Amino acid sequence: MATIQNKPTPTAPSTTTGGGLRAMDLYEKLEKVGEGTYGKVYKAREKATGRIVALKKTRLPEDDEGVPPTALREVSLLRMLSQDPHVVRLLDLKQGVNKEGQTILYLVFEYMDTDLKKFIRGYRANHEKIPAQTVKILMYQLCKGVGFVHGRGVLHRDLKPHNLLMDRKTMALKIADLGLSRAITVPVKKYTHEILTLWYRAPEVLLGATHYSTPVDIWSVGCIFAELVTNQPLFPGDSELQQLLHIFKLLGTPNEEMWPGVGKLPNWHVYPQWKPTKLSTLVPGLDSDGYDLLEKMLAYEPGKRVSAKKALEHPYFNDVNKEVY
Amino acid sequence: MENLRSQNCHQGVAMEGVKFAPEKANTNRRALSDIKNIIGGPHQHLAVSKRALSEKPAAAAAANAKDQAGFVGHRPVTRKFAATLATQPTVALLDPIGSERLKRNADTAFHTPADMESTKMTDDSPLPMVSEMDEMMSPELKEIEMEDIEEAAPDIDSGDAGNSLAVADYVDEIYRFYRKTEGASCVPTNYMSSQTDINEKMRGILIDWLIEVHYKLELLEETLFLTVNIIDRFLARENVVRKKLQLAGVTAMLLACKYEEVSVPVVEDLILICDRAYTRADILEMERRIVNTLNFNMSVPTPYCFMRRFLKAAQSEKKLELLSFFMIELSLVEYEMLQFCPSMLAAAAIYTAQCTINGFKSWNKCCELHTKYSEEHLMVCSRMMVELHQRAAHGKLTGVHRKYNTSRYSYAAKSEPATFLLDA
Repeated sequence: MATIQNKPTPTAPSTTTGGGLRAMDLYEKLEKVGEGTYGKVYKAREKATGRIVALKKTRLPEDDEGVPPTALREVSLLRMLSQDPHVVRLLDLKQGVNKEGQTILYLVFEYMDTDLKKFIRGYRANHEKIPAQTVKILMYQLCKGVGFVHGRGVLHRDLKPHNLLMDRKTMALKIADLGLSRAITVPVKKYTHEILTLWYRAPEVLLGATHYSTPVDIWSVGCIFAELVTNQPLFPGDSELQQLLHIFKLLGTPNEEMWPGVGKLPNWHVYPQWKPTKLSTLVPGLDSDGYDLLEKMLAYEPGKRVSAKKALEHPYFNDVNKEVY
Repeated sequence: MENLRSQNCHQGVAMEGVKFAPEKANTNRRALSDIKNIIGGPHQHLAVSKRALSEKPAAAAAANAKDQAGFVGHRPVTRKFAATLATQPTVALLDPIGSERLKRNADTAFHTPADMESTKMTDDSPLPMVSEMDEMMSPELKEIEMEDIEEAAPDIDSGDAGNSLAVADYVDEIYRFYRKTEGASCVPTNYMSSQTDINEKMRGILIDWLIEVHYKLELLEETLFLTVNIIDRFLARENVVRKKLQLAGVTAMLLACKYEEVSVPVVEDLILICDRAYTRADILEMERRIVNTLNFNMSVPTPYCFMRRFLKAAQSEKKLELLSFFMIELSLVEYEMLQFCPSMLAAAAIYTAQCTINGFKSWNKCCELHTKYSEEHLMVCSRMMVELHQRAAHGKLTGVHRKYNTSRYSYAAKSEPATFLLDA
């Protein structure tokens, strides 16, 4: 497998905003590649260098509340985190005005040719499993990236395959879309519980906890791990209640013994009592180390959930070439 | 869900019915004028009450009413008063407490285009992102490193193994990063000399007022520290005319709220807080100016980040915590305290508070090893804090003293200053 190229770009990116040339004078839009938390994302070419980039566009309507908190946090946190090889690189920031006179903010990112959602979908369409070693390499990079983000005092809060960008050739994986991220204070304070895409949402968040921390991201990582192995989402709920029931059905209904304090969470009710299913039944195709790591990532009690930092030391990753990734 | 504030502010910060917008994007937030029918409903607190736990509910309610009467905010800038600022070089930015409302004149009701002008300062070329980050990663820190201390710091996190909120696996790494990058959040200690129309006194008046606004809005503690940091970094790079200083301050608070808070005050409420001296367009334009000047960089270590960690090292109780925050908020107002980096301010505030409570010098090995500052290192900063404490109740800038002289803050301001440190 090819070595990941994570060399910094030769030209130091500027962060100038406003004034000068309009963003669209500097970049040529090639195609729309998706939607971010608060705007469209385009594949584009930098006219001066021919470099292919991703342009994330957001409107700042005059009559509204100014810069959206999501945009403010994303840009600010990316400026701090974007030096890591496992976090997508913010190359530039441009501010311009569109034809209607609205202020537009363009975030210019390095271009990655796919994301983990498309990558998994490709294998599923061909009725193939992702090779075990590829799963391991992707998971190692994900844990490394999440560990870096957490080590800077930041929660991502929206980890899912769609937000993990990839390079098909090198198998490089990078964390993207920090629109729902936030810096945390230690000890962690009260935050909103309306975070995370439903399928990857941790049970403490679903149960209404307003005090949550880095384990919410690890739960998402566990769900992604299972999805890489099976090509199917582990808990595909379509409402908060259905999501909880999905989890309880597979992992067993939690109780005070396995998760002290669960009964005191705001959304706790009397739920049907299910016994836990063996992970090897739910996620066939892993070795014993893989199941052990997955189990630690999907621990109900947040304090017992493995950290990304500790996960990197797990025997499951023993045969990964750590100098390359 | 909108949280309505319906507390009468007794001619203080004009905030009746202030609303907050939740953290979610695309929330429809009604203008204040649309919800007059709801004002006067039950007061909903977002923040956890900081009252002493021992207080009885009835006594607490009585004390709270007394506090509200006693903690009278400065008047917001009126347009006429803003106009007088333009002609008087050292006049106070805000009306003194309890002063009569100044009548507005038609000729001062609107800002002229000339007010909008601001000259960019010479050294304000935007840094490329990579080089700025490199600079941030290896700043010349203003702290004095302790070469003599080599032993490992005692483990203060051993009890947090099962507590995910303590982030025990990352806490050392996080604070190493904060120490490494805190230099990037500091400003030149002489930046005000580059300003042509404002001075240190005006900065002090602004921050004193913002502390009261912050108190009334019941915002998170970290929001206040980030607000002041944004103001200083902005003023260090951009010239601001005095008519726009309050605008810059309130907009900095808006940005800090957007970064830190779960529920953000809406722009209309900030307009009311400023007594309609500015328009929505003014605030949004200033917001653009600030984020562009600071290159969207809001992720900076403030003294608050270090306070939490150092208080844990000091095994603090509520009394020490409140007194430490009293010290550090007094320091926020004082321009001269910008000479100290955030970690030193936090350590010195805790040291000074410990000395104040105990009546003698008090700084144990655990504090020394976790803060990486010895008593000697802290002494200059600590003495300045004692002097600030001595004059906290006097003069024009008494907002912090009045805030900490309420039951909500356990009357921390009533403590006797540790004057023995001045003789040491």
